[in-house]
Amino acid sequence: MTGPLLRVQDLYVHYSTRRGYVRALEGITLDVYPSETLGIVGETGCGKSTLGKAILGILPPRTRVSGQILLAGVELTKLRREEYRMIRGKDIALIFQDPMTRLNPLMTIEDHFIEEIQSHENVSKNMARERAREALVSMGIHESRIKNYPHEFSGGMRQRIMIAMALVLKPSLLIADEPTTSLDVIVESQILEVFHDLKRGYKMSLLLITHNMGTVAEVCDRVAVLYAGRLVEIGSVKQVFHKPLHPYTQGLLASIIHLETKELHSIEGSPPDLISPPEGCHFHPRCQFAQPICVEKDPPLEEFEPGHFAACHFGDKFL
Amino acid sequence: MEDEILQLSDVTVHFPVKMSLAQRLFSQKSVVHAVDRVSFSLRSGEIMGLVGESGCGKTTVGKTSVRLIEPTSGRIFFAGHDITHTRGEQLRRLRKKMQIVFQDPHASLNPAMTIGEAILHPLSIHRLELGSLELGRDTFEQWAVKKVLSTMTEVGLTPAKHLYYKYPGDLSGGQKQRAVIARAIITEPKLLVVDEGVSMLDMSVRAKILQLMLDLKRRHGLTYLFITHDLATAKFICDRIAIMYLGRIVEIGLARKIYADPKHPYTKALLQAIPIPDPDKRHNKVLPRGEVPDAVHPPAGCRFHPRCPAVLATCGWEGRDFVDFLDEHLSDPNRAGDDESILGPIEGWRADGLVATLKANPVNVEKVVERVKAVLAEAPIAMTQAIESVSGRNRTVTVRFRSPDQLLQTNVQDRLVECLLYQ
Repeated sequence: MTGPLLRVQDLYVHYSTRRGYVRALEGITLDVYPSETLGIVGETGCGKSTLGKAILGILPPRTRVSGQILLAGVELTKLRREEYRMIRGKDIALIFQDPMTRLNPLMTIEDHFIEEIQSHENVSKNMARERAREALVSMGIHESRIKNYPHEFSGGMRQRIMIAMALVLKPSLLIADEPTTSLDVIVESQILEVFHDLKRGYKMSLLLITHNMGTVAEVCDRVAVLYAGRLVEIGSVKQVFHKPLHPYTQGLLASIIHLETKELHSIEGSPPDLISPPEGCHFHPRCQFAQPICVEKDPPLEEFEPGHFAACHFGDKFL
Repeated sequence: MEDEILQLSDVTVHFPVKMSLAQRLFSQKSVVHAVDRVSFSLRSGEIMGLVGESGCGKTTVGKTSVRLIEPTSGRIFFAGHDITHTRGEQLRRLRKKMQIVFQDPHASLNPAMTIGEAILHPLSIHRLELGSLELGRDTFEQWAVKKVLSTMTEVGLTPAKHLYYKYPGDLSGGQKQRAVIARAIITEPKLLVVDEGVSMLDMSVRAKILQLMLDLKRRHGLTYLFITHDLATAKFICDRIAIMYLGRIVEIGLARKIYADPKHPYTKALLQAIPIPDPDKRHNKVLPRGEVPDAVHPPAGCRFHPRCPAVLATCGWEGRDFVDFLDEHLSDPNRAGDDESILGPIEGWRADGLVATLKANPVNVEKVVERVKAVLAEAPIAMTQAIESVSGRNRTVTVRFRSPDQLLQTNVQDRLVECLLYQ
């Protein structure tokens, strides 16, 4: 395998609040390889969106960030604002959960595209317009609608427009933060098909941030599980779904309600306050297998089988 | 029937569309067909799921059931009484017997009220009816606080005495939804409408709230109308389900029967679209095209027909289906060829009921008719078969469809299905 496209190394993100520092991310290390889809899963407040924002360099001011984020060898955390802006959109693109709030209601779709393209490349309006047309058509939207305003499209079409805009500059990394959460089941399924086709069509890596394990199982190659700001497990989708090593991942998978569900499962307790998270393994207060060592010592992320890492003192017990 | 707690009979809800003065003067009044002739009944102690995509009218049915909305036509019965037009004091008295829980627990709680106050609030609203018999020696306040604490304990908001004084902002999402449920059940209702009550919660919390709802049902004999877009959750919790599409119930029956063997093509599509959390079960899906159409002008016949993979010639094809097809055809440069110059521009076509018309140059009329026929060879076969005639007279080219067959709810294997395939 060639080297990773994105390398996140020992990333810490601490938000400053009146009550103290919220430890949103604590020592995240992961790689994203060219043309792969990596799913980032976890529950509300686990830090998954923070990770996406950190990679894009759009964290709020006065946030403490340490560690490295390397995109194709370029260290992103050291970039000046101007330099970051040139990379954002061009090399890394982003798709948000709610497309309506990300499109300007007073601008036509064409204007959005032209602004996007011209802010990164020195091309004429006509050239930009031509590329916008191509991108829209590739997403199944008729080019005659390019002069329409965002409100004239349905939810699924707006999300397709967002994807077209993200792709028009041919980024090497696409970050999608809950891209289908606000969509209906059938439209969600249609958009997931789009992601499938993208993998084949463009040589692009996709970081898919979601809380929906079903989505991950359908489109991702590998998956990373976050809990309370820490990476607790990462591996291929098959490894993680069939042989989850971390008790949190096990609980998360068991609590999915799907068509074959016969019994309800849930994880006792609730995630910790990230201002003062518990000592040792952050999951120990909720873990049914917790031992004294889990309170005393932070479990490191260990490789238990090729490509399958987990941060649990007893990971080998679940192999 | 005796034990029917709620019955909707041919309930229709239309919402007026906001129009400017000029529009009101020159065009017909238009309405959103949110719910059209919906009928079902809930037996005491059962959980009925109302499932469908956004805009299908499921929330409107829920709100109408508890009379937050007055139906445009049809009747609603609660425990045998006609409540369709109940108003004022009588309606208020009814409300303590029927409660509703919404999707977002945070938005449902007043941030300036403590959890205890919020849960107590319905008791003070319904004070007269509740208090008079049970008070005994306590004052109303003492009695109410006791009741709030025991309800909080029952829904798992413990320690209740501690949480009583907390504000919504201090609670987690799951706790907030428990508080909302506590507030809903404190008046001891018979019917609880739960509108996407677990959709916003994380997976690990969702299961607990569902379990709580099942426990409450068992203990108090509650009846639920469970509104959701999540078929998996509905399957787990519901005894019966109704699948809604664009204001109509397309399939209704026992949940286990419908999941085991869905009949309506829309139900099949919905079930197929659910992501399966197993990487070994990735499969190619046959999804309906496009999205739910506008409810101001719902499609004729079966409302699902323009997207239906199993559509027949008699399902309700109409003029605008032809215009939509032509639009799609002309926008595909590989297929259109010079069709655009003869049949276009698409804006020239008018659709009105069963016909689509184009004003053409008189010399051209014959040519246009020929070309329309040629293009139709590529249309879905059901649509081509539904066309009665393509004709050119004077300056007008007309594409006329046959009238659709009448759609009826049919009993198919212990359920009602509204689809011509089974008629």
